[in-house]
Amino acid sequence: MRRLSLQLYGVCIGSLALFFLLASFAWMCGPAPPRERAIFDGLAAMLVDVLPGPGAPRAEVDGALAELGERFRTDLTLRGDDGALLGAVGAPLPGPPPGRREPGWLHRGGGHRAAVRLPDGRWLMSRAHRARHWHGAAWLAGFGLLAVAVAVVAYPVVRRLTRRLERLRAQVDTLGGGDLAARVPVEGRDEVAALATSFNRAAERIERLVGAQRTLLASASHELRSPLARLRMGAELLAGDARPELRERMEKDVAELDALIAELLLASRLDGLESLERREPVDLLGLVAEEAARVGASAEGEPASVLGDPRLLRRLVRNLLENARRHGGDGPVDARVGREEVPGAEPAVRLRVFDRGPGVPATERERIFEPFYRPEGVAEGDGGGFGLGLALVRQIARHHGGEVSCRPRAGGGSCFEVRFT
Amino acid sequence: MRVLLIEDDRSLAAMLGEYLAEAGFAVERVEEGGAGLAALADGSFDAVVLDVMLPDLDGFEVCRRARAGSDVPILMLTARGDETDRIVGLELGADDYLPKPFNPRELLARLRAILRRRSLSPAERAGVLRFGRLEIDRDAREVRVEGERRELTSHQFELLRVLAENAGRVLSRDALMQSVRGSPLEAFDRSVDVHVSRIRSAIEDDPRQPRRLLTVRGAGYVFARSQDDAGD
Repeated sequence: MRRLSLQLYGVCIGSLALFFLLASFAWMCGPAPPRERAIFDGLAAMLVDVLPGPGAPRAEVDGALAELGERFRTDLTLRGDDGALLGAVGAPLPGPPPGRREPGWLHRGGGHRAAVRLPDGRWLMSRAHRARHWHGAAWLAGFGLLAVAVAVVAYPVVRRLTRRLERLRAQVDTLGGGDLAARVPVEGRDEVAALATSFNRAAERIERLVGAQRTLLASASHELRSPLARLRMGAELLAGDARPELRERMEKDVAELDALIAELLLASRLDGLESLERREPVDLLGLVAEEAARVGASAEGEPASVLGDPRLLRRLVRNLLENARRHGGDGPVDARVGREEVPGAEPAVRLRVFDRGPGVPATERERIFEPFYRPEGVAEGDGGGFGLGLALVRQIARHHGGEVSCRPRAGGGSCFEVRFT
Repeated sequence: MRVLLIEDDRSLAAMLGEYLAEAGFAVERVEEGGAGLAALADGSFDAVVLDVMLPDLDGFEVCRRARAGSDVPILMLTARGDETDRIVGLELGADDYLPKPFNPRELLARLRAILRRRSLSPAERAGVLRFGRLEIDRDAREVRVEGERRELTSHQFELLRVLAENAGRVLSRDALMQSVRGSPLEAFDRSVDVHVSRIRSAIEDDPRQPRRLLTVRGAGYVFARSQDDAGD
């Protein structure tokens, strides 16, 4: 909020300063106001008696001016109507521009000076000693006072405004961070209050929508899994009379369908999620070791911690390993966890899963991350499709600020690498 | 053994009832939470199998109320697939939690396991670490798989205990040696590997393909946090 405060403050000061500048300019350039005019005329009348008349010798004029100048502590210059120098004490001061008849203040060319017009047409210019410096200092002091005055008056008002905006911003951040119950107190009746009301309404709507989606997913899960539960139970009860290989096939199909439902629901939930719901440090090496054991893969590397959702990370690791096992056949599957130094930032954590399968051709290495992608020439039920497994790996990696890629491997096979930064 | 089955899916309940009956249980079936609580109040059951999605009351509510009145072992079933449900269920007092579609043999094994655990005193139960079918009883200093005792030396038990208490974390050989107090003769670096392979022979289904005590090349060993879990 500091920038806004400074902007408002700057605008106040700027406009007041501008006003003063313009006012001074107008005052300086314009003719002297009537009261001032009267003083100048009065002075002119008096000076006629004090000064030598027109045509007097230079020395006489200088002498009279010197006396006057000392008394008033000013520099004085007497000029004719045509601008000719008739006498001076101190540095000669330039006269008014040709054609000017009004007495008054002059600024251009010689500093701030007064110009009095004698009845006989001669001009007397007067400039106080050290006027310029004095003026400069006065301006500075005046400006300083102005700045302080504006600050004192404007501060409470600006502060209140920026405080309310700050509160609003904090709540918007909270909502953005995942707390859908975040609301802003509505204070006052101005535009900021209107903004607060709008925000609350939008947050309400988001909360309801997300809640509805969650309920939908839970219901979908239940509806899809109940028949599966019955199928599984039924397969179990088909005792010795059924061929065991058929029973086993049924059990496998039920498991496959169950896994697919889980992945579909997860992918759907991740789609609607902007940021992770859970963030805790996860020991990636430990996780990889557990999952590797399930598929008979080896695990090695250094302990590395990733900040994120442990359930999602487990699914990411499991999908990569199952994919490697499925395509790598009986060959060795290796998982390695490592850290990579990044200049100027936290080290990145890297997970690599290797297999000795047929490998993925260069043209397909991006496409395999598409949901349900099936490479050319692979038939249904061959186990060669990629289903949702890799698509989920990519989704989960991205939710954790990382990325997954498929690389070729020297000697045949593939290397899938996930980099968390 | 009398089991109360609270499940609104009639067809599934019938099949499950038949399955449990064949395994030697006397099964009573109800389709609603209210009826289930009433049955619990009237009769005496050795275990309850409870579905989370019921037509009248929320399954968790039934669990909470049942637990308030009795100590009966409760196994919860769910088709919702929401993993926080598991934690909620366990916190409300359920003894175990199985997602649908479940492997009926697994349900039977878990049912038997919670019945067995109930026969222990609460203090005894607290000292026991459970990972699927494996139990590490820290008070009796005993290791059991499906209730059956497996032989381990004192040092091997300590190694296993430390790993299990840090389940999911990779422990280096150094760390393991430091945290296990045993006779100095036993604790050499290489011997950690030997002990691990003996432990595996005792507790793994297939010691050549360990699923509980895992090796991480270059880093050490880790005890798997989730064991014997079908789908997770």
